[in-house]
Amino acid sequence: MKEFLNRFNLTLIIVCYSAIVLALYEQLHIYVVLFGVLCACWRGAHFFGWIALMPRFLLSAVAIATSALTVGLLYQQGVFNIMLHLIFLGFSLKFLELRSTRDVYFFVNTGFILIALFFIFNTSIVATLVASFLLLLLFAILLSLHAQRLVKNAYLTLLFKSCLLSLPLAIVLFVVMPRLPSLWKMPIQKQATTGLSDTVSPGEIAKLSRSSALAFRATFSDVIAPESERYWRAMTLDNFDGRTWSQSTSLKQEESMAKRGGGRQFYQTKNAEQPKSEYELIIEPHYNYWLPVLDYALTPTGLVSLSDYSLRSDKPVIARQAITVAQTSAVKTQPLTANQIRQFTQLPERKSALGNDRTDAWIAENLSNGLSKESILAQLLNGFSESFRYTLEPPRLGEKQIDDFLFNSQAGFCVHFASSYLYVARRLGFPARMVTGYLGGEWQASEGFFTIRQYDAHAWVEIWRENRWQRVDPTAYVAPERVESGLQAALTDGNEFLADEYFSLQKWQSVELINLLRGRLAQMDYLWARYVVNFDNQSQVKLMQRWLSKIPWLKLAYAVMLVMAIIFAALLLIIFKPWQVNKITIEDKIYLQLQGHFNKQGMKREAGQSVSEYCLLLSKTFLLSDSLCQSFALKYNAIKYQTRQTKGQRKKQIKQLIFISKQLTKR
Amino acid sequence: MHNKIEKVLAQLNSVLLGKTQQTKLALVCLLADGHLLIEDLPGMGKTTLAATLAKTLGLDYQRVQFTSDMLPADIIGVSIFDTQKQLFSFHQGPIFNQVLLADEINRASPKTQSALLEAMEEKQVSVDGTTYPLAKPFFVIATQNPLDQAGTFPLPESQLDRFMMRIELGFPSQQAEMQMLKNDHKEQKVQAIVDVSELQAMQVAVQKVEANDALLDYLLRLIAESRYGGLAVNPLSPRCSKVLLQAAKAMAFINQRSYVIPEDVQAVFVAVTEHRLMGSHQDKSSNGVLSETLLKRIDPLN
Repeated sequence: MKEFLNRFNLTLIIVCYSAIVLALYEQLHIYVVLFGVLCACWRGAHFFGWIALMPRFLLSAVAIATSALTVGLLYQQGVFNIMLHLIFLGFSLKFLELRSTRDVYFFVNTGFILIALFFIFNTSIVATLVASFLLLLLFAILLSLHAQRLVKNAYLTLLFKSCLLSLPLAIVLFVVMPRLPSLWKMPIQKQATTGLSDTVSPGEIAKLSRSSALAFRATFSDVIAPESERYWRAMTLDNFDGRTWSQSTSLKQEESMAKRGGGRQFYQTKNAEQPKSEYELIIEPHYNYWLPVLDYALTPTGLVSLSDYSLRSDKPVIARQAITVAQTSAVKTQPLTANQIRQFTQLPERKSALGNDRTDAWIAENLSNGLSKESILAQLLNGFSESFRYTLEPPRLGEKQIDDFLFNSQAGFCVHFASSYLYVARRLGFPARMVTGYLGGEWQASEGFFTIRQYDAHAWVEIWRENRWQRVDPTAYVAPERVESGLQAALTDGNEFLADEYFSLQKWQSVELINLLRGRLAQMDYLWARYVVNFDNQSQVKLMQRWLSKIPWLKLAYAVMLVMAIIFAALLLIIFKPWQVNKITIEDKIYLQLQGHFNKQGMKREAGQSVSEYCLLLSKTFLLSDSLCQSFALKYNAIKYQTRQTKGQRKKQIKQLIFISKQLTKR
Repeated sequence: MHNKIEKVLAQLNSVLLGKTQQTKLALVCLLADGHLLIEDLPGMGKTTLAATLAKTLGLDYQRVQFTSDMLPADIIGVSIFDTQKQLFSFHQGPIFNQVLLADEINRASPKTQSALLEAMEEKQVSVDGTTYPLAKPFFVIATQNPLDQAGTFPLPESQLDRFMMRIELGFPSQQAEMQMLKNDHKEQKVQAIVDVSELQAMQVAVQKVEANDALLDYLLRLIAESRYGGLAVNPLSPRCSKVLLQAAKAMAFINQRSYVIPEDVQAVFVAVTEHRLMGSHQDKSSNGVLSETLLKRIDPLN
């Protein structure tokens, strides 16, 4: 093998490869990652001269085998995943067989594609920094191929300088280039959903509460909703089987309609009051369809609403998504139909294994004591605030959940309270449903937005009274501070909050510097998401219009083309420097044509050969007429080197030269 | 005029068999008003060429055999006290001839060599405060032995530069040598074909040969390559480019053309430049190599 790659090149390539494997580590199947590590080891060993490179036939065999295995392994995960893995495999194998400069180009370009794929999974600012580093490494490889002689400092300077120089072009392209629709269907990950799920059984939200991962961010345009009003509704659950709250069949139907883009649209009616306020949400990917909104929201374009006024997207949220929501309070309510009343008062059978006999008995007793239904509910809430305890680590509940919670453990969190309240309300005949979503959010004063984290997840109750849905939050009665100042305040035991996350920055809120740092990072990430990641076709057009509103489009197109043409022309001029090129004279052209003719027949003119010499050789090689050849040389020299000749003479001689040349090339 | 040149060349070639290229170059050198250095082993016909050339062109010539004990006065002349006139009178040395045949110039000591070479450049001699102009035309045709021969003093670069050309004769072909042996007993009749005024007219005619920009560009590219081309050679001086053009003009004249073409430059290039490129680090094995490299590197067609 030729030693075309010096040690520095190879070191860079190996480092780059490892970095890309690390960056994509989470997205790749474990076997494929192992294969990648194996490749790196092999190459590393070769680097130190312990083993030879893989022979070609073996490499081909490995390529075919691993591709087949990958396709088999990931058959069910969709085209996108298979493509990703195949590209990665190709990348690894190319890495193993780098032998020529061409291979390195191939390797680097594949690297670029992998970095683009990396952005599909992660668009935070940290990810961007990581990707920029990877890009820089790839550029360094390219540069090192072509600047073998540069020493370290000059090399780095050149690298950074060229990157900086190309940055403006990249920005222009980012702003101007139209966004193309995706080629592959994006993967819909089934298990990996984060945040709220569409079923709630007491115990699930406790896990969420401990995660400080960002759920979404909100910016209010004018009026900021007070903390006790910031109930972000995501889903309603109206079916209870004694253990789990889930969606009823009719809701599920609506849900599946929404996935296909069908559903209700709530618009601003003309005579109704203006929307209360607008707010913008930037939602972190959670691989689900719901979008959390304050009650109630008008339907933004591109989304649909369900009958319970919650918002749905027709695609899962797999990347950060920004939506602007108009809040409204004027919602026309229609009386519930009989079917709906049946659904919203549905409970498991009374005497079944899961029936909550004690609760039922307690309700019956109160009713027989002459208490009104309303006062029974009020009594329940009173009971919550007097003798119940809010905790994130409640004791396990028995088969009869509600009984066990109300009369035995009396300790739990939002789901427990909401669930038991709902049970009692439905038993009393009130239509009621559970709402899951997020509550509150942390105000980032310096940045001007709310961050709502996964530990802000919450569940509450909506109950149909006075012909409208009214929000009741039973948790507010047992731990009012949960509603007013967040989860951290509600927990008396400090260790319980974020007990799982030892390294969470949230725990160090008391340290001023870290707080500041965290704020800045959050702000940067927010700005990044808002202005860069969500820069789609619409915002592109908006931006263009804002800048160039006064220029009509056609003119703009011409202007852009003109600017491009000028830049292009300038580049061409700089590259070819036409003012430095000697003009080729006519006799030289004829001579060159003659040379070209005989060059095809295998006789090349040596550098330094004079015309006479060349012509002599021509006549010898191709058995051409000696005198004809000589006369060509004579004429050519006469035209080119004679000092005193009139234009007429010159023209005549050139004609003769052309004639001779034609004679010579006749055969 | 060209008739005469043909005759001159014919006569030279009848004396020096099979060496048309060299005789032509020698004639070119004289027509271009330059001094000629002929280098080769003893017995190759150096002196014959020099003498025939002088005779054919109708020039009076004197031959001086250089030896290591020669003094400058032996060439330039000496002032001798005339007892009758009670005066020093200057007796001209061989340098006051139109052609000086300096045989085996590298046998003389550097002191003598430089006395000659000074005269060659200035075309005048100063002795005892009096300046004597040399004859017109004035040529030095020097011969030298290769430097690996014993008892030679190499000419320094600055003095080599004074010679327009250095040519080598080389062994004759077998045919030519056989011809030579057959004709050996015959008396060679060498007669003057051209007289001095004709020769001078020819020299003026040579000056009138023209070179256009395209040719000068080619010539200068050759010179520039010796300076910046990265070859391990002594770079060529502006004097050399001047001399090269002159020689090329003479070549064009001999070829009956009123303008110079690259072929003329190429024909004289090795003879004009090789000794300047090589300097005094002469190495017999690399003869002509340096200048030919230059010729190969620079294409006449640009």
